[in-house]
Amino acid sequence: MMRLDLTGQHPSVDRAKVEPPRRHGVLLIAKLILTGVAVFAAGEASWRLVGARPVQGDLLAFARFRAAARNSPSAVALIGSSRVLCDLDPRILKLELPNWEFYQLGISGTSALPMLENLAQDGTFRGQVLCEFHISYAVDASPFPERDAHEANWLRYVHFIQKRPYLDFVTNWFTETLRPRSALVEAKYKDKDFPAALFTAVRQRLELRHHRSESGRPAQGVPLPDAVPREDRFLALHHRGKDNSADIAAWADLMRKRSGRADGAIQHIASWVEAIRRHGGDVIFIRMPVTGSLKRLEDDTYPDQDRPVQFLVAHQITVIDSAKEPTLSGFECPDDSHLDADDAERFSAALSRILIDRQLLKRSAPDNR
Amino acid sequence: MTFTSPVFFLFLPAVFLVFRSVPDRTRWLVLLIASYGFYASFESPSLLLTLALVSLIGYAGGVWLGRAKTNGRSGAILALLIVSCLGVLFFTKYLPHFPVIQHYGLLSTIISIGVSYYTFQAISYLIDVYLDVQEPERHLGYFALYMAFFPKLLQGPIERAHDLLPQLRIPYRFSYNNVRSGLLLFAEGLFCKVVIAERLARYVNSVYDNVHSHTGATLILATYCYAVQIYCDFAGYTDMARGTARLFNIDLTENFNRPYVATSVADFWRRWHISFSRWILDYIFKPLQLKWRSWRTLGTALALLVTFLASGIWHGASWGFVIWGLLHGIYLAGSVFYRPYQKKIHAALGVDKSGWYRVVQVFCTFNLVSLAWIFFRANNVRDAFYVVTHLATRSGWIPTEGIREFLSQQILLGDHVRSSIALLFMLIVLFAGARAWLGRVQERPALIRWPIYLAMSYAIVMFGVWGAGQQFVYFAF
Repeated sequence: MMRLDLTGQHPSVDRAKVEPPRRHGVLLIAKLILTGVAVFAAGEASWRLVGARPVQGDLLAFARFRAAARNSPSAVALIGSSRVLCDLDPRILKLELPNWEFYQLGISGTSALPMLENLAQDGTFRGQVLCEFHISYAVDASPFPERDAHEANWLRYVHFIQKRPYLDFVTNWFTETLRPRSALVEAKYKDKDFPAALFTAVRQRLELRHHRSESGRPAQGVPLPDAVPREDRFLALHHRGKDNSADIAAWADLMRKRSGRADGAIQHIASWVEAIRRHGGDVIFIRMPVTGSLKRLEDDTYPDQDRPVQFLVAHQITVIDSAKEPTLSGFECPDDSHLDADDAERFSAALSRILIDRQLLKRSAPDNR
Repeated sequence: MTFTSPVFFLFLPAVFLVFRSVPDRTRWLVLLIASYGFYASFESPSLLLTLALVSLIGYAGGVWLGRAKTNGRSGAILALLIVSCLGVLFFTKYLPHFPVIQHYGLLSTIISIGVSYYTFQAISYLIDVYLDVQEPERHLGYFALYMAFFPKLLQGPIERAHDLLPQLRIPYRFSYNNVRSGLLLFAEGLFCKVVIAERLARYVNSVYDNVHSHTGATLILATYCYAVQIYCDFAGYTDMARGTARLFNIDLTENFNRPYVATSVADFWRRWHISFSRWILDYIFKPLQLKWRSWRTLGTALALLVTFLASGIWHGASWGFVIWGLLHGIYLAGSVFYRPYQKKIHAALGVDKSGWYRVVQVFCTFNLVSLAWIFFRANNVRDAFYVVTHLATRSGWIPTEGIREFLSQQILLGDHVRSSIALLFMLIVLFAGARAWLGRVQERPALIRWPIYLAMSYAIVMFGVWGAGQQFVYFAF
């Protein structure tokens, strides 16, 4: 490696002769920029060649909805896990309840409670909350341990709108702004591995060619692995035929690891609902449909499911249990956990009629307090 | 913030621009503020306090020692100052790991990133002042910068005062060559870290976090991979540190010199973590050897044993590090007894200047060092002994098991092509002395060097493993 150039500092050397001209600095910057542009272009082209595409930044959409939900008594925040993202279609809800604004604030892979707490602590939020209720909220240890990888996703979202450590803010802003424009940034943001993607793409291409030569006609394109959310963050997913056993096994493992049985969570829930009511809003809990092996697993893990619900009801908190409502109970989850996109429309419509019939949300415009 | 954090790529140009735009007399202040800001990014007030405290002990101690030389009490003062520095190190690095302290949840917020490096730097400065090798530094700002200079703050190199302090005072003149070579050195280190070390870490972690599920060839392969991983991780960091410092016309000590082509363990320690091995040689081994010189060979062997035991303890409060240090001590102490017979044996066998014999020496040294790495890497001593006792398990010796494991699962998760890439990188690092190649590339014509620069940049972006929670192995020390 080259030794450090200190000739300019030595007293015996005429500085005027060894000092590089100013244009060298400009040249260096130009070279750096050109290198950056060339590498970015090559990286972008490489990712696009293996099928990656930029997507709408979900954090920004989430932050936009969260901001829009402020100061509006007609706002309805939909909060919960991927079940809320997949099962509650804001467009259908809006069709049935046109005077309300529905904001999809679900966060995939996490519970509703961090978001419920966030809304409760926000004095400017005066709207209603449709909140997923899962039995684990009531009986597992709470608040959620930050180090738990399962909860890491909500940290990203809630910190993005709320805490924003100063260094994270820079990187979040940078990546979130570029993600909708660049497949490279989107892929790196998602921790995708280029060699793996390249290998998969080559293998799929070879398989397609083989298939084409056998059938004599062009094969179908390779489906993109990631679901792209709609602009309203609704995930219109078709789960039929999907093998969900790995996800359920992971879920079962998670349930086994969750240890502390603490009734504290339910107390938190009651206090957060109280806070939202003080601001002029209210919370309606919904137990989302779960079927098949996952339903059996949950029943085994949490045998006493009625007690927490009774606790909430005793606090005048509304809970809609999809399994006990005639119009909501007939839905099957193809992957045991989420409704298919077509069913999500019907489920949302049925839910909105329950909300209207029980006057939980009125068809007319809310009071403009 | 580390050298691989996206924020660092904004922080460094910002510091450089400010540094360039201020007059010479305030440049030390810019670097000092930047260094403390860099350290503050770990969001632990205790870290800043520790750095400030050790800097103050070093500065005041140096001045005090300088004055006390005339009245003959400097030895006692030096002892007091060294105990103070070691006390800070003990308090931040070892005390939080005591079971009683952990039981009561005390000192749980104390973290010790970089503390052992600058503590050792302060001790070396004080000893050098005591021995008249170094004049006491009278300017608190320059001394604080010597302790805190951000490129070397977290993982060294452990700089001697006479190497670094004078450089801090030299008026800055922009040098195209320094900036260019600094950036290339940084890129080379980044490549070693994110492309090689991080990819190998996937495989190593999967095996070492679950050693009881593996035997034979898998364990051997994981151990070899760890040897390369830790080298690329630490040497990569050092290159990034040296490259960063070079932007400010500061030359940090070269910490590695192709350690895995060493022909003996003693040779390995002349090439591995050079600033640290020089430190323990000068400040632990030599005084002990001098003290026990009347015991001749036995005294030297004992001094080596104690020195490397201390080296193991320096790495952390764990029996694995102690055994790792002891093993190196035993290797070196053993070589002291073997050395008188070495030449005779070589002459008798006729292998003295044989190239093949050198290959055998390199191979043996690499395996001895790798054996010691097992205790360094394993999650606990029980796991380490499991690995050692199952390296030669018969079932595992059928190459298919280990190789299949390696190829099919881990390194780049999934397939032969990607594993081959990782193997290629390993070979480059192990046998081609890859770390020096970029320096040579700089002297080639533009048509040759630019494609190499671009290919390396592309590899860093596309093949590098980036993500949250990425740490350097030597951060913990």
